[in-house]
Amino acid sequence: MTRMRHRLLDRQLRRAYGVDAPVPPELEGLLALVDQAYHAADDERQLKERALEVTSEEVVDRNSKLRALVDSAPFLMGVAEIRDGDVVLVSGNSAAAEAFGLAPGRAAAMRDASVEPSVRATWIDRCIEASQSSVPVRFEYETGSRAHSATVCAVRSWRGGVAVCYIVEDVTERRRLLEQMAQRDRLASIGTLAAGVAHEVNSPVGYLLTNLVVAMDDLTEIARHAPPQVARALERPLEALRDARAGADRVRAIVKDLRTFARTDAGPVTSVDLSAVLAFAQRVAGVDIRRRARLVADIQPTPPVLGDETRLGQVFLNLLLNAVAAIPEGAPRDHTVTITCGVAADGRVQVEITDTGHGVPQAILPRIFDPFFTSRAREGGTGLGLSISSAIVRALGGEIIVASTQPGGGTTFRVTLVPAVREGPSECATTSVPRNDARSSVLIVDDDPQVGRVLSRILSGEHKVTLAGSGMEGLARLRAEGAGYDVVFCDLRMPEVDGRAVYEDACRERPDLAERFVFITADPTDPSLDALRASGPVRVLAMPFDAAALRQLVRDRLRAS
Amino acid sequence: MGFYGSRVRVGCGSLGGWDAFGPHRIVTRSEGNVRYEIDGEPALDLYKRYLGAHALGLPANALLFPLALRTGIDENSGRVVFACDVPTGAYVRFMHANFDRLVDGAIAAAEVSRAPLGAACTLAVLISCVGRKLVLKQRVEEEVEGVRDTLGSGVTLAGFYSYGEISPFTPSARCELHNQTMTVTTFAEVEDGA
Repeated sequence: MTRMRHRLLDRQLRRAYGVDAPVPPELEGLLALVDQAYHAADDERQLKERALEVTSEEVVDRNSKLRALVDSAPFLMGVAEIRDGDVVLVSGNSAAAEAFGLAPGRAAAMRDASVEPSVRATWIDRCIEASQSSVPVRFEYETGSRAHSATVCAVRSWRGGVAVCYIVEDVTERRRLLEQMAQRDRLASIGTLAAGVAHEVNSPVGYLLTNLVVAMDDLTEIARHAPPQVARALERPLEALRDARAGADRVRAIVKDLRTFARTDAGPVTSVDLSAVLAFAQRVAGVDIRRRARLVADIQPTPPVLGDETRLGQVFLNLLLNAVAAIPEGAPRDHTVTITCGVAADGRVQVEITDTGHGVPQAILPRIFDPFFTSRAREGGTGLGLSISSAIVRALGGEIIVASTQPGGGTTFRVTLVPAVREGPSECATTSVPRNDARSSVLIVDDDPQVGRVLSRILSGEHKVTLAGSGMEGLARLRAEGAGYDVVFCDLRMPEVDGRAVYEDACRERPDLAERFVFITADPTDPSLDALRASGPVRVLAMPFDAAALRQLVRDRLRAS
Repeated sequence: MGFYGSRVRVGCGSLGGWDAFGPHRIVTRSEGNVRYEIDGEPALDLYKRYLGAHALGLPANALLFPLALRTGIDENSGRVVFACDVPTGAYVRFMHANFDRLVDGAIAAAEVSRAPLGAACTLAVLISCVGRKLVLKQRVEEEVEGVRDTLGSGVTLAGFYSYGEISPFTPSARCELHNQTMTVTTFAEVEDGA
């Protein structure tokens, strides 16, 4: 490629030899070399200029990317130099500049940083320690209500002296979560313990109560036919027994609530009578509510809803306790907690719980159903109540919303639930066919002799009672004289041959026996009941039982057949 | 050709004279001595950006911006060498020619090679990288003149332009393959008993 003669050389030649004068031929060789050198120098200069420009762009680009990265980090980060036993913050991302009160791009001594003096001393000590160490140094400190975790490490080959890199994270939330998890564990173990105690106490309370009833009934009967002195003499023991029974009733109620509350596994979704669930929630929360407010309940009859009694109880209990927590202490006459229950226009069942407390601030309203979100961390709130409640209700096809809230004017939570479609014959179906011969034959199959005896005591006055001490014995009696028993009480849990096996074996031979079975259980959510329900309606007698209810059950059963 | 005998002395020196500039870059993909990617960008694109109009002369013109390989993490003590094989993950920087330093480099290489001889040098073999010739153009002779001025006019000079030089940087260093250097090997014959 031949180039034009370099313009500078051209101009120089014109200046030397005149505009149109020819260049002496003997200079042609020299001029060619000079021309080449001019061009080479130009190329070289252009190349350098270009390299300078491109490399500047690259450096600026890298610099801005690095700054963007460091500035967007959700923690404080920067470099500090150790100078004369002090720490000088020579750089920091925007979070660090803000936290330490640093001017942009200016180095500042730790003593000018906006941290408390005690924290400054810790900083200086740890930074000096890190600058002399090959491993990072970590330390934690607090400013105001926030907790921080700092990591400092030596920066190798830092131009300008001894330096450390610092990274500081705000660990307030993390600490709170850890504390909450620890508390959750504690609550879970208390729950397990409560469930265990409730289970153990349940059966003895059952015997206690039933035997008290039997003793009272018998003594009352004796007193009625006895001479007046004897009757008077019996008044004191009868009164003592009545008091004992009242006490036992309370224990039974407490055990039942404890079991409901402690149960963590979800029971089967069945049709649930909301009034019973709401009554449970009111009973448990009652003491707390009355300390701060009056309780107003307006429970309209509603169709049963689709749900799990235990879990729904948990939901309403939670909402009631939340309502209480929103009300300040000290003025129970000025505040109310209102529960209303009714059917909405769309046929769904609505429960509203309204308090007259401080209301939910708009700012936190979107987060109140989030797990671990709580505005009551100081009072030991775990932030789980509403999130669990919401999950339970959603799983049942319903919803929980904040229907209204006003600062200082209280809050209304609305729970909407789906009505259950009525199932086949219900467990306590009665028909109005009367039966004249009330005295019938009852078979009791239970491996626990105490339960057998209690049942026998209650029923033997009206009916002929036969006891079978095991599933095997019960089955043998049913095979031999099945037709003779009008009602069969059968324990669900027995060793070897259990209640379900007795039922299935007996019914295989005599299908008409199925409707005469009543299962005895301490746990109405026992999964084997679900299996039994799959093949038809099932009657259940839950322990502890009430003597009057038991007698009524047998009478109903006899009328039905 | 070989030299032998107790009176023969050989010296060597090899120096470049290029200046590193711009950001440190990481070789993100390479195979043997072929760099495919630098900082995730095809190496060819990077060269084209820097060379502009000179990109037409690629691949030869890549010698205008040779890569300096940084060995070791510590920049202060890490040496810059010209190497052939650059592994993936290596740090590199572009270098540009500094005319005065290229000539000074050749002179310094001559001085280093002469120092251990202990007698007047009689023969020097000069091997210069073709890349130096490409940038120095007409001035390439200055490096030979510089060597001659350093070693003295009585020295016989021989040599050629190369695509790589094998030599220690200094007599005490390890022998390595270089690019972009002037490598000088000097020969002298000392008096008996010296």
